[in-house]
Amino acid sequence: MALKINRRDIDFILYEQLDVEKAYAEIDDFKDFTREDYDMVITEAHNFALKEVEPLNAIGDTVGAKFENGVVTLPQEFKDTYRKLTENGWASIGSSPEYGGGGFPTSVGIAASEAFTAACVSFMFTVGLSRGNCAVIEEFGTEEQKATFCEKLTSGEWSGTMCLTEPGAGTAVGDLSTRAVKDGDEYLISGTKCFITSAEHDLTDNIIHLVLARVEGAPKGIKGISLFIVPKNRINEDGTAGEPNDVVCGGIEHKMGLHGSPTCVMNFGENGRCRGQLIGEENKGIVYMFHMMNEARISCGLQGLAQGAACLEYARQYAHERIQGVDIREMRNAYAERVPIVNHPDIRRSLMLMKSYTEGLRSLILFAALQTDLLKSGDKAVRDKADDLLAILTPVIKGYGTDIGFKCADLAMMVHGGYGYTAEYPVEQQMRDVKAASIYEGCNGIQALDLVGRKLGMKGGMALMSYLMDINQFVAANEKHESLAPLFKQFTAARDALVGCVTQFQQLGATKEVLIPVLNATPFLNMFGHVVLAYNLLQQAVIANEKLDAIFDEKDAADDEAKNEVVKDSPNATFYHNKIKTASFFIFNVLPEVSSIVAAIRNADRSALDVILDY
Amino acid sequence: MKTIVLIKQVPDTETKVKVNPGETDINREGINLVLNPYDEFAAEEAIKIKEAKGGEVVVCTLGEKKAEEAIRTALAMGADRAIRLDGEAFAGSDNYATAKALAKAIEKEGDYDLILCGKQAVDDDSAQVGTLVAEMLGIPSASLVINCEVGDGSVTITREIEGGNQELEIAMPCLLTAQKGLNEPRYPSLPGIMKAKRKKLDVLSAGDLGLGADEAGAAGSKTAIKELSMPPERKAGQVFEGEPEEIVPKVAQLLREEAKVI
Repeated sequence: MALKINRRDIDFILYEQLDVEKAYAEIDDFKDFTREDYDMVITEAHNFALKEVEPLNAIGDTVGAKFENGVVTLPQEFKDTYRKLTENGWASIGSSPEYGGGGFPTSVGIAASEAFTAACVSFMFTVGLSRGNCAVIEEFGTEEQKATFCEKLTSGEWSGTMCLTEPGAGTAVGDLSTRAVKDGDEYLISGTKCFITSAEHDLTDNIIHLVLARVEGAPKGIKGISLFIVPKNRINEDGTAGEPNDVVCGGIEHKMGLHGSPTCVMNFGENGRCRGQLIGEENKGIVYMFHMMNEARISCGLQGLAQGAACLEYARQYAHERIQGVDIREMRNAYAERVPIVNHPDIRRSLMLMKSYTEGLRSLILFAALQTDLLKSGDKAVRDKADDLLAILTPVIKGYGTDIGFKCADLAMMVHGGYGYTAEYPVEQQMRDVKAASIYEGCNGIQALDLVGRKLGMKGGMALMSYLMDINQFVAANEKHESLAPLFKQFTAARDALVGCVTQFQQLGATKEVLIPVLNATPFLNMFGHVVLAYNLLQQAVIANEKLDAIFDEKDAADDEAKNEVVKDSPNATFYHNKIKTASFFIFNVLPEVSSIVAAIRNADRSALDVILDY
Repeated sequence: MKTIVLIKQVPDTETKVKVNPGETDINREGINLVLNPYDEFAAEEAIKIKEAKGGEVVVCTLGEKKAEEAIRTALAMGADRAIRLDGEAFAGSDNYATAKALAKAIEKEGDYDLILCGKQAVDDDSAQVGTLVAEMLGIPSASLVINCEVGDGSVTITREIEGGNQELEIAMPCLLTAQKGLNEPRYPSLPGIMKAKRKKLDVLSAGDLGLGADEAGAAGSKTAIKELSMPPERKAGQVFEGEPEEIVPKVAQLLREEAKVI
C-alpha cells in the first residue's frame, strides 16, 4: 500500500489560508524567496522522501539498531540514504545560510518534513536533533563554538543530541546529578544519561552532545543547571574529529517501536577524561535547552500529524479496495452486490475522524511554524504576538497533537480489521512508532500542566487573551455566515465553555482547592485542543465556501443537481466541498465533547485525590 | 562539448485522466505536471557527460510559462541554461511543427555536439519529435539508447532492438533518444534548486526563430486532433448457471453471435 501525502491540503493552508507569500515578503530573511521556490522545495523533498526514505521504514523496524561492545550500528541502507539525504540538502532546508543551510521559512521546512516523518520517523530523528542542536549553539554559543560546530552540523557531517534525562531525573529534570568541574577553559563532565536518542550510531564520524549538568557548588533545582557541548570525539586543531572524549554508550533500549532509532544509555567521564565546553553562562542551561525543547515539541506534534495522516491515507485506500458485506439497507438480500467497505457508515465515520483531526492539526502546526518565522519580523509588536501564540500553542501541538497521531493509528487499524493487526499492513508499525511521541519531550501529562500551570496565567493571562481575541474577531466577522452560521453557533458555545473553565481554574487557584485544576489538566488540554482545532477547521470552511461558490458561478451551476455534478467533476470543487464537510463533521460530532469535559471539571470531584491506592 | 537536451512537461503518471466530451485536450484542472520521465534520463546523461568532459548543457522546450517548472527541474539537476519557445504562433503544434520549432532553435543556438531527448513523452506517447528534429537538422540519430560512451568526434551507443541490443558508433553531432536503463537520474538537490534560480532562461518566439506564419503552430502542422475519448468501460461478465448440457450451447451461440470470436 502506497504512502501518500496530502499535498493539496498543504498548499491550501500555506497559500489560501495563511497567505505565507505575503507574510514572508515583509521579512528580510525570506523576502527573496518566491512561491516557485517553496513549491519546488516541497515537491522535490516529498519526492525524495517517498522514493528513498520510505523503503527504510520496514528495514528499520525489522533489522533495527544493533548494540555490541559500546558500538551501535544501523542498517547499511540507513547509512546510504543518510549520505544521499544530507548531500541533497534535505537535512537543512530551514538552517542558516551562513552555515550552508537553505534558509527557508520554518513552514516550508515543516511542509517538507511531513513526508520525511511519515516515510520513516526513526531514521529522521538524527537529522532533526542535529538541526535543533545546531540552533542552540548558533543562538547562545561563542563565535569559536559556532565556527567549530555549526557548519558540520548543518551539512550533516556530524550529528547532534540533547542529553537531559538521567535514571533519577526524567520529568523532574531539576533533580539531575551529572557533574561538571571547571578545568582550565573547559569542564570535566561525569554522569550517566539515559533515553538519549541517536547518541551513538555509525552514520557520522562525530556526535555532538548537548549535556545538562550541574557545576560544583551550583544551587539545587533547575536554577543550578548549565549546558555543555560534549563531543564524542575531541576536536583537533584543524577542526576535524580527533581522539575519543570518554563518552561511552552503555546500551540501547529494546522498545515497542522506533527500532531504527537507537535510544542510548550514555556514560560521560567514566575515566575522568570527558571534556565539555560551557554554552553561555553557568546556571542558565535550562533556558538555552528550552530553545531546543520548544522546537522539539512542535516536531513531536508534526510526528503525530505525519503518522496520523499516513494512517488516514492507508485506511482510505484500504477502504476502497476491501470488498466486504453489502449495503446495510440490503442486508436481508443474499444476492445483493458486495461493496467496498468505504460504503459502510461506521468506516466513513472513522475516516472522517482521522480526516478532521489531521487536517485541523496540519493547519495548527503550519500556523505555529508561521509564528516561528514571524519571530524574525522587524516589527516588535509582531514578534511579541507570535511569541505569545507559540507559548500557548506549543503544549497543545505536543500533547493534543501526538494523541491525535495515536488515535488515528487506532482508527486506521480498526478500518483494516484483522489485517491491520498483522505486520503485512503498515498501520501496525505506525501505531507502535507513534506511541512514543506522547511520552518523550515532556510527556503529555506535563504538557497539560505546562498549559494549565504556566501558560494560562502567563503575562497575567494576556498571552491567552491575545489568542482568544483573534478567535472572537473571527467569530464576529463570520457568525452570521449565510451557510455556516450553525457551525459558528456550536463553536461559540464551546468557546464560552472553555472561557468559563479558565475562570473557574483562576478562582480555584486562589483557594485551597488548587489541586483541582492540576488534577484536571489533561482533560482541560484535550478540551482546549478541540476548540483550537475547530477554530482552524472553521477558518478553512469559510475560505472553502467562498471558493466553492466562485467555482459554481464560473460553471453556471445554479441548482443542487448542477452543483453536485461540479463537485464530482472538478478536483478543486471536490476539495472545497470536502473541506466544508470536514469542518462540519468535527464541529457537530467532536466539539460537543467540550461541554461534557467542562461539566466534569465543574464537578470538582476529589475522588482521585482521596482514594487510597496502596491497598 | 555542448549538449542540448529537449524536454517536455507532462502530466504526472499517476494522474487520473479525464476527457471532456467534444474537446481536444484532457481536463487539466488539478493535474500535477512533471518533467517527462524519459527526459530525465536524457538530462542525467547530458550532465554526466559534462561532468566527465566539460562543456555545457542547454535545455530546450516548447511550452507555456508553466513549463518553466520542468525546466527548473532540469536546471536544478545540473543543466546550465535553458531556452523556452513560447507564443500564440505555436498554439496547436503537432509533432511535426514542434520538431520544426525545436530544430530552428537548435540551429540558432548552433555549435552543438550532441542532442539528447527522451524516447517519447508519456502523455501522447508518439515518440516522433526526437527523430524528426534529427531529420530536419540533417544529422544522424539513434533511438532507445541504453548506453552511451562519448569518444573523439563520435559516440558509441547501445540501443534496444526487438529481441536484443544493437551497438553503433555514430559521428557527432547526432541526436539520441533515451530509454529507461540509460542511467539513474539524480534528484534535484536543495542547493541545486537555489542555483537554478540564477541560471539563464531565454524565451524565444516564432518570429525570433524566423518561422513564417504557415510554419508554426496549427498552420505548420501536418496532423490535428479531432476528438479525444476515454476507452470504453469494460462491461461486467456474464455468469451462466445450470447443467453443462444446457449452458454450453447458449455460451457457444453468444460467442458466435454477440462476441463474434468463433
